[in-house]
Amino acid sequence: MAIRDQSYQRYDGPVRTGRSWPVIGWSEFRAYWRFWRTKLTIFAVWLLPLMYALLVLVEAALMEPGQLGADGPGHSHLNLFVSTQLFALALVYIARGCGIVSDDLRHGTLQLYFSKPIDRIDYMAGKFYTLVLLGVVSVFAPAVLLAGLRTAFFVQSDMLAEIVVLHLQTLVLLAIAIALLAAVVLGLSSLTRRTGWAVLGWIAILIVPLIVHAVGAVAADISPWDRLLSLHGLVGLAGDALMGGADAMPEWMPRIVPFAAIGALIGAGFAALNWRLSHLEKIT
Amino acid sequence: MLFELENLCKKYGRLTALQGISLSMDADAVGLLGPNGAGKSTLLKVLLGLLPFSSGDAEVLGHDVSNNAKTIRRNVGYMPENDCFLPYISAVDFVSFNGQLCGMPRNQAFRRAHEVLFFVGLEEARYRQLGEFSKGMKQRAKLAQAIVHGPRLLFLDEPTSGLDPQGRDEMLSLIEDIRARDIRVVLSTHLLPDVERVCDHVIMLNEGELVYAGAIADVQKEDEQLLEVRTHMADDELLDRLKERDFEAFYDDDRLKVQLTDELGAEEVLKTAVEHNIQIRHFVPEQLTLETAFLRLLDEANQDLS
Repeated sequence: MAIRDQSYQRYDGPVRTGRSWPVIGWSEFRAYWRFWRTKLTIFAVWLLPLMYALLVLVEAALMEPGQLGADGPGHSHLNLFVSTQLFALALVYIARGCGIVSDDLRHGTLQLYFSKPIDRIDYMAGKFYTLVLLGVVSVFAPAVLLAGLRTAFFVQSDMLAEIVVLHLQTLVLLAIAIALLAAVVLGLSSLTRRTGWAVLGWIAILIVPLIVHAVGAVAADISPWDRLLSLHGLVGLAGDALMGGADAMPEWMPRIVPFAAIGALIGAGFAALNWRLSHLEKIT
Repeated sequence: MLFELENLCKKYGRLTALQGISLSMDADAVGLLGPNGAGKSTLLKVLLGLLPFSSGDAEVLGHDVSNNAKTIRRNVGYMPENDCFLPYISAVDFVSFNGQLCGMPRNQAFRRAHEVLFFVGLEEARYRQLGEFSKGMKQRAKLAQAIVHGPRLLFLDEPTSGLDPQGRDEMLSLIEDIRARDIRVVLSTHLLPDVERVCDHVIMLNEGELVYAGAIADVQKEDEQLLEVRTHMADDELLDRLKERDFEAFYDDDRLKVQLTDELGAEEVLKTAVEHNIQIRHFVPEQLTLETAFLRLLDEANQDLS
């Protein structure tokens, strides 16, 4: 039916005047979710937490009531869990996420976005929100599930409060890790129109520090400062600072250092996107 | 008032895209004309607040562009020239999303997206991904997103670009229909017949400068005293004889045209032909097309520049 047969009416309904970033974030997430690649990748990264959950069940089944928590709660395996979740999220962003801004640059959608009553901050926060939502679904939700499960098995032990705090700290650490990775991907994606380049850059950011670390470890007794040069090293240090206390950190390093570095990287990601948007006239 | 521009300038580094444009216009449908690089798209983007302007003042629908860009954008629908969507989004999601960006609640935006997609004739394809659309369908989808929130003014940047004749006719019909429903239209194009069909006013730009702003009828009225003359195998001779008598005569599309003035009227043309024994076969006053009027104004502007 063509326009001539239709009765077009002007829209006179309610109009929202608040921020638009949730709209941008949620719409993009829904668009990503429709892809089988996204669903399969998220399913794949859920496998490891499910195995952890199985282990928790096995641990609880095998232990005698008196043994529960006899060794005391340690943070190292939780830190390891966060580390594996971090790589899982990196995988999700490789599959879907690195094109978060580059797709807009390539397809010229920015001029349409900004012809609507939205601000630059709406766009930036919306895109960040999409990546955060991906992170929540792929790594944060299973972590919450595991934390709940594990806490449930310690309900009758004396260490319940300690366990709850430890798992809350883990979740906070994971939230920081998601924010860090999302901001870095956001920044990388805003630097190019080609999603492939963003993916390559993202892989390089993940892998190169690992290679440097491996080479350094073989060649010499490398300084622990190199942990500050990689994303997983930074999150690991933050985990040490958050959960292990001052003792878990290298003694010469203030506890604030990993958090400051993470904050700086998140800021750099947003700054890169802001720089790109400042040059909007070159892309519209 | 639709537009109120005062010495509007836009510079890209050393290049001046808009050179001090001043105009005041209140019309229902305005054609924005100019050759490639004239500054049409830049002007549209500046008026939308997409690009900051270098100096001057601009008001759209009575709102200051510098301070009320959001209000303007809420009341304006914009259809860009180029593709501007992610190819993996369905048409209904695309239109609904743009409605939500304009402040519509999600359920209302979704309902309206269906309505406007029916309205532009994409009802069968509304769940298909935009990447699968033909050029004509993409143009309709872009038009749908521009009208989903019920704008008061519509900016259309080359809406018929790349369309086949039938697609172009349908797109122009849509625009005419929209115009008839109290939505003001600004049509930026280099296809003058499109402007003649849809618009009543025109803004002409050349190299960033304003050439003309006003009613189309007025720019055509200036050329009412034009004669189209055909002779029996003596067009060239008549041209020479008329020029000898200070007539402004020229060929336009292989047809001899004579510009009449108060002193040199149609009778003088006939006298000249009779004096030189030239047989007249065709002698009709002509109202110039917008295209001819535009080209003449453009020539004058270029002469002024040089």
